[in-house]
Amino acid sequence: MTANPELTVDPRLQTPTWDGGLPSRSVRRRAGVMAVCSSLAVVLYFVWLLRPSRIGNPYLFGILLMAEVFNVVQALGFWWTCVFTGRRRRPLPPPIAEPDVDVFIPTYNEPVDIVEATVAASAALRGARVRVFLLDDGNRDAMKALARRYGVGYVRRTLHQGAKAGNINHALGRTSAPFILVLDCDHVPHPDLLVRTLPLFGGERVAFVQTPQYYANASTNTIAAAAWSQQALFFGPIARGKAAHDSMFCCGTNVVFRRSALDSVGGFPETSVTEDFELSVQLHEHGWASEYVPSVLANGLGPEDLASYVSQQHRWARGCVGAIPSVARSRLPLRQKLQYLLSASYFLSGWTVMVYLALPVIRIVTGIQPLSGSSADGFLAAFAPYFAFAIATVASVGAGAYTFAAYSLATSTFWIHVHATYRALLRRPSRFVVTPKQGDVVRQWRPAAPTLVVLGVLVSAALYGLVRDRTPATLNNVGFLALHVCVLSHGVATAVLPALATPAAVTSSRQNEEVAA
Amino acid sequence: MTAIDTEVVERAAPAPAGTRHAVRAHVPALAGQAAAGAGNLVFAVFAAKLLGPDDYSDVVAFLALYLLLHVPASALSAAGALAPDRVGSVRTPVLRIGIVVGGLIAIGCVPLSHALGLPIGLVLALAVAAPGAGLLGLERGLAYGRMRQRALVRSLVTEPVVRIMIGVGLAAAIGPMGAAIGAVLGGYAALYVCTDGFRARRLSSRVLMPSRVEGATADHTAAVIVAVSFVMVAIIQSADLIVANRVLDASAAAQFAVLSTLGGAAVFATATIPMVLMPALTSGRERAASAALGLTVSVGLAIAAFGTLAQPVISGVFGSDITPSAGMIGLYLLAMVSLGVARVLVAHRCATGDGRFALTVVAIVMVVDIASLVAFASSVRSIATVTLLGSVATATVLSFAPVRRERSAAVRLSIPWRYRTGALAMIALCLVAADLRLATNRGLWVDEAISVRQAQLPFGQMLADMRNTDVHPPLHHALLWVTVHVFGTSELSVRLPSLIAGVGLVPAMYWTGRVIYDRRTGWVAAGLAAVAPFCVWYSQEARMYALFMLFAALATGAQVVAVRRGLRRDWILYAVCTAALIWTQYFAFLPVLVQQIGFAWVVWRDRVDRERRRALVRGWLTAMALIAVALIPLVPILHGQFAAYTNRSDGLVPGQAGANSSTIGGAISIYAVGANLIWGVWGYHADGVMVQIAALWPLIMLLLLVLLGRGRSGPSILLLGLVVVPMTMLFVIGSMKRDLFELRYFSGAVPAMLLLGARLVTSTTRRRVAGIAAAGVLTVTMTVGLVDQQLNGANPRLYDFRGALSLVHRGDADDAATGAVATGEPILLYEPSYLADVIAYYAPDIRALPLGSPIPAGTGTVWVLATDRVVGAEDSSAKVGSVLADLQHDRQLVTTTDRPNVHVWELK
Repeated sequence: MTANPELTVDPRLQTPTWDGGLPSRSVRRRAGVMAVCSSLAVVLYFVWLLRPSRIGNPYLFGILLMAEVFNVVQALGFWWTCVFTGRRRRPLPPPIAEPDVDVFIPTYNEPVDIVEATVAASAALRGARVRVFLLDDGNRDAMKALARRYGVGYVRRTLHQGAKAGNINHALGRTSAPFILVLDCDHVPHPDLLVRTLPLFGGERVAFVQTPQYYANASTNTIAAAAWSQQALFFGPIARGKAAHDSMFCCGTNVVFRRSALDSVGGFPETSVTEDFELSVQLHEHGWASEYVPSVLANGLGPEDLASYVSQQHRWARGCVGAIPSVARSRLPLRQKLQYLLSASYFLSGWTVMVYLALPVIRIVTGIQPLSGSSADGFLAAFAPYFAFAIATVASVGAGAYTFAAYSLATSTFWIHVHATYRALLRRPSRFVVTPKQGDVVRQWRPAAPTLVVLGVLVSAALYGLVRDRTPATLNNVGFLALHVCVLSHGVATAVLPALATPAAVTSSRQNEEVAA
Repeated sequence: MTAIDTEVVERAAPAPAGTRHAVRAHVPALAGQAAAGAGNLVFAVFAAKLLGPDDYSDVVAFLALYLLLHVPASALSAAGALAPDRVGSVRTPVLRIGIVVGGLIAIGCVPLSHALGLPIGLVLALAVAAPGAGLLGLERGLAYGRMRQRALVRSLVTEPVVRIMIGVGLAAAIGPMGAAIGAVLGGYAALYVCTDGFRARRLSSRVLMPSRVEGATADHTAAVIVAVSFVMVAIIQSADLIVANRVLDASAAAQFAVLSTLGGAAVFATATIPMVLMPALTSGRERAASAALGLTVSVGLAIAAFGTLAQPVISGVFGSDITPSAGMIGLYLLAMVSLGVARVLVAHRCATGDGRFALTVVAIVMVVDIASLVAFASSVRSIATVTLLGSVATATVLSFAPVRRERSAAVRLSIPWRYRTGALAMIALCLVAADLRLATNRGLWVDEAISVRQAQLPFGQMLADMRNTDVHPPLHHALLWVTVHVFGTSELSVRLPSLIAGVGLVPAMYWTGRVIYDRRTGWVAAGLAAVAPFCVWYSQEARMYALFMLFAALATGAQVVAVRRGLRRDWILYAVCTAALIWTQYFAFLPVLVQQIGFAWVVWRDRVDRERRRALVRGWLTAMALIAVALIPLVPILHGQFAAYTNRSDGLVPGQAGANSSTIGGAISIYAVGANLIWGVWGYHADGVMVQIAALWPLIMLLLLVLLGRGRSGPSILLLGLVVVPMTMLFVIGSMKRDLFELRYFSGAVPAMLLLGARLVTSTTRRRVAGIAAAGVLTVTMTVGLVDQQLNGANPRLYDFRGALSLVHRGDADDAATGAVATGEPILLYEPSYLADVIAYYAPDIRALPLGSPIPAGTGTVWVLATDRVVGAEDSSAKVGSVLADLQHDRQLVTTTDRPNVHVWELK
């Protein structure tokens, strides 16, 4: 077996820079302190907000209230999840000696050089008798040759249905090991992945053990870095908390399954675009448990351009929003049900962003506003602690993992949530789209178009307001618009200026190399 | 061997690299330029003597147009100096353009003559001069580029000599036309001499075509860029005169014309330096740039100093009614020095392949400068200040912006120059800071006058007075006592300690920023401190707040150094700075408290490393002991002041702009906190402006969001604590005792705010352009704040007692002139009572009594003076109204005058 020399510069082969975030104890302590402070701030704000005299335009007030309530529910859910991080302590089960593990690497249209590193590393996994299978839904001979080169199994099917879930289910029927490791084809596993995860199957009801979905290209691409920053908050305090609540769901890759558990629910559901989420619900409904190991045990690639990010987020949003009714109807214990609802309803938060974007525009253009009967001073006194503690909570509990870039990227793609909700409500079918693994270097107007249109509206409203009058009230709304414009512009900047996708440090390093050359 | 051959041999020799040689290269051209200047002066004097006033004014107008014609010509000189190889190819087009221009002038001589108010003959002389102007610029550029010093000096000297020899004679014979002919012939003679005759010119374009250093000369684009840049610098230089002529009244415009003339002379003196520099740089002479910069600064400062000191002489020449004050002359000459520096830096950038950047900077500054002139030009001072800011901005940006790495190998050679110019850049920044702090027309206000009165007492008596009537520690007063007893009580003298502290804050911020973070942050922090409106304001006030900021910055830096390095001298430095801080302002205990918490945290953090912890605790305790010892003499003063304070009445507290606009009346509100933060960074503004700025508070949300995910560092948390803790504590204290919530009492927090701002700028992005843009935006917003703070009369902190009392003086003088004084001695009644010191400072000879005092019999005119705050307050306003009503029983209200925050009523 000969290693490809190009693989030596692959960021997935570097040591990860994330170590799982804060220890559970620190997360608990910080979340507890921030929960108390934030609760006081929330109470202060809502006491101020809910006075009848505050109601300006009743419709707008109602919409604003709904948005604020939604955010507060999400915040409460966040604190609840994090405060109980590590609450449950299981006794360490006896290790399972060298079990058989089938490693599934589903692939569809990814380049060979992306898949090769994953195959090579999978073949070198320790702690089990490993059989690696390359599940090629693209029926490509190059993949077959790759599998042969590394001496791993190659599976292709004649009837392509059920997308990734169908591919895995097809392979499940042709393999037999009691444990299955599923790896996205761009996720290069650490040799000790199975050593770290298999012991957790000592508990007989453990259906799967999830590990973080780490983006190794975060250091070389700003979109991947922002996306990873969002992931880090989830795979840090949130995932630990969910595991403590026995509600950690499967994320589709870097996860080890117990075959009997999969068999008990009939394998992966093939009707959803977020098959992993639906599978987790079903497993928990059947009484299975889940575990989480907060260590990076596989290095993957995050989306490297806005189109890839939008594609990924849209799939997640469509799947999760579509799953809300089924979660609500499920026979899960209340705690798990709430946890799942919290996770799924996160993808409705784009609606609140839309509300916040619209209110200043409406105020400037029509003069209508949701609030009245208050001085700016009074509003600021009630709102400032509420906002400041919300930011401080994310910064503190996430240990700085969540960045402005992550926030701006999430905010600037708020329309994804709106669109996904629309499709879910109309029950429009969605297609499973593989997240591209390599970024495009050209301008991407299409994924940025909705945001650019919104930006145009915001800028126009701000200019209109400034031209019309410069009263403090108008300037205050212009200030809000300026805030939104900055955030949205930052979020979609890489789509319009692709050069910004390369971090300055990398650019500088390349320039140095060129100068040296 | 011919002369030209000799030149070739000389230029083939390796270029000497020393600084002395680099300076020496400028001497001939500088001397030639000086001789030319002197010659032109002599010519002007002769013309003035020989011709009548009308004829002389015609000659002056002709010479002004002649100079205008030579502005593009001087740009051609720059281009020729940078790219001498290109001169041969552009001679013909330049000549053609000159002929066309001359032809057009000749054709349109009649309407031009009417439009310009010049005799037709002089317009025709201008037409004749046009073809030669461009060629002269070009040939001089070639002489600079080829380093033909002899020909250059001959050309520079020939022009005035011919002008005097022929022009003066002809002027005496045929009047202004003769002088014009002399000037035109002088130009052509200079052209002829510069080319060593036309034979030599032809040779120079052929024989000398190959460059001395292969590939060292600049390309065509660079030559164009340098030419355009120099034209734009010339526009920046002259735009103020045009605006002044349009906006100001005749007397003020004449005053500005004198300033402009002096400034023009200053620029003229250093005009050759960038020309000599460019060929030297393209030849790879590393030290040429620093030598040129040093020479420009030295010559410029010498001229500025001379111009300032020689104000009486200038006044004798131009007339005292149109001669500006010495301070104004100094200010404007410094602006011209900065413009000279900018020219050198433009030349440097263009010669090292960074011309586009220079062009962009100059273009932006030119646009902003013209827009600012249009917006703010209301007086000689405001126009001069805008010019100063524009020229300083050009020099500063060109000095500090990094040179693009890939542009030229010459840049890499110049890395040492950048390091060497660090000191020069700091000097330049300090000069900028000094300029900005000196550029004020603000009179003393109440607190300053009280300090001045105290400082005039014997030292022991001053301390006793402070113990019984003041609330501040005596360090600033002690310094003030020295300056008052050495330099007197002029406004500049009494503000000297603050001025020095304010300028000293700039390097102090650099040092603190560097030791806490890095050099880049240090430079940004220093730049921000130089233009920060709040720092500028209190550097112009004879109070202790500039010192407070200086020691606060130094103590912070010293603390970080002491923790990191821990040498004995570090701890001593920290102790000295901290003790000085408390000796300057009692509220310093708040930042000192934060510092001690910082020390405690470090000790706790390093608890595992016993040796380090022991060293830390030892140093900390030693410093505390030193501070305690240094504070012992302060205890009795503090005790006396505390006792006096508890029994005193309310002091004068300037209106809390912005806070009053909130709905919670005069009480402290969250808006008041916001207003104080805005003041701390962007300076004091009118209440209306403050309300508008405060309404933009959502942008603070943006700042908080931007901070998400940023790494934390101990020093950053310390700096944040130095801002937040004092502000919070004073907010709490102020809510109980209103007059204690006052921004200047936590002015020690402002350096920390600026350091955090600098850090935010340098760490927000690692992209160079974005970093420069962020720093630029912050600096520009602060500069706009500074301009508004300094020039807007609606600034709520501005108390124009000087203006108000000068009215009283003028009124008395008028009375004396009209004989009204015979009716009785005038008297000034004032409210509140603590205005006594400021009245004594500005009007020591006026009989003044607090409002409500009985008016002596036989009193003539009665003046009533009250501050805006008094008029705005219900009870004291009623008191003033009642007194005015009483006075109007037997007197008539003649005038009511409003000066910023001061009202004056005149009753006769």
